[in-house]
Amino acid sequence: MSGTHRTRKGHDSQSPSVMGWVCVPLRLILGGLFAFAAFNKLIAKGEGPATSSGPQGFAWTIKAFKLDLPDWAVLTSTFTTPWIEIIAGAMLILGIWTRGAALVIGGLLVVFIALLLSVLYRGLNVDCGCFGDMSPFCPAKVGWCNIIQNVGMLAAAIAIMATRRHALTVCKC
Amino acid sequence: MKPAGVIIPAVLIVAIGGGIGLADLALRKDKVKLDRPEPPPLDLVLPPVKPTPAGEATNPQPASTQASPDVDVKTEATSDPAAAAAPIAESARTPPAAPTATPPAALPKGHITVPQAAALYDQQAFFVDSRRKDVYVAGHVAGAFRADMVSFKAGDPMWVRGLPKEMILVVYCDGGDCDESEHVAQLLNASGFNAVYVMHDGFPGWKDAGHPVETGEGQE
Repeated sequence: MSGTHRTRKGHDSQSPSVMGWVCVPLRLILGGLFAFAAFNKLIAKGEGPATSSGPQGFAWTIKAFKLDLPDWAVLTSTFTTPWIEIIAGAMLILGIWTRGAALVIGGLLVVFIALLLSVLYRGLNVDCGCFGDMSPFCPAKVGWCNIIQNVGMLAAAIAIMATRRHALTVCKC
Repeated sequence: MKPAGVIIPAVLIVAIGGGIGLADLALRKDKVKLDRPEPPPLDLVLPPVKPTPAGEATNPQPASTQASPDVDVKTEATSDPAAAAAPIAESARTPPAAPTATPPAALPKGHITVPQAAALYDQQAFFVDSRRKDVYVAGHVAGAFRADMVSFKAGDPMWVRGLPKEMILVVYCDGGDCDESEHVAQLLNASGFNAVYVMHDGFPGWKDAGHPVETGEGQE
């Protein structure tokens, strides 16, 4: 194969590793979940004071966490978080800057886990808002289920980040 | 790939996503209100209740049968819920249920004390638990249905649609700073129920007063 060199074991240094193939379903699931979560935070599906979807619902969710953030920080988080999620999720699926996208998602998950722990510690009875109005895996209210869900996704992100040669990628970048 | 080969793409992804997000913010920020609309004061009609001896709330019929249209809820109108609430506390002749029980005078509009709620319980009022499901399963007012704000996202829950609008509803959560019951009461109010009350001291106050509780899945 031109443009690549062979290792002592005879494999191309650019060919996917076993972990690269193992990570394919992880990338599709994790990237898909983040893209889905972002979509629900960007597109409003409900109205009224009960909604957690769309920018309005997500802003209320952030406020409900009672972090004493200034208004500009709440607004900035409301709009930047889902866009970062959707771009990182799409890149993870497509295999563009795969490990960088996994690092971004891992960083977001660390922040989310810290926020959820703080909500549990303070005993707040609030919606997670993780997937907007949807709650595919856990009850809508913040609980240990959400923490376990995010720790599972963080483990997947770390596995993707630690894998050097991924399979089925748009580019080797 | 060197560490920089991971970090630089990550920074670029954050920069691109953040940039698009800020542009989106500039376009749509006027459509986002940071404060969730506060429920307007509940304009409630508190019916007269029969005197109930202390700690003898019975609610003999299970809550699931309370939606029957032949239940006589005796909703006599009075324009001042606070004034109407006061006789309940007197007629119930119930001493403060717990050291932490909130006196009636200190209650926000639309809120009732545990003894008042117990009197309504005996009149077949419909109790609504607005707490999380796991907390509800661990213990709730006997016969109470569960409905939190999420339950209303796809419209009124089925059991709400089956209730006569003149039914007396008592909503509760955990008392204290918990405001879920207030929001659910507001949603029930918006669904056409006029006699919706919030049990101010919530389930802890009810349980401490020795009123009927049950555990398990219940109904929602």
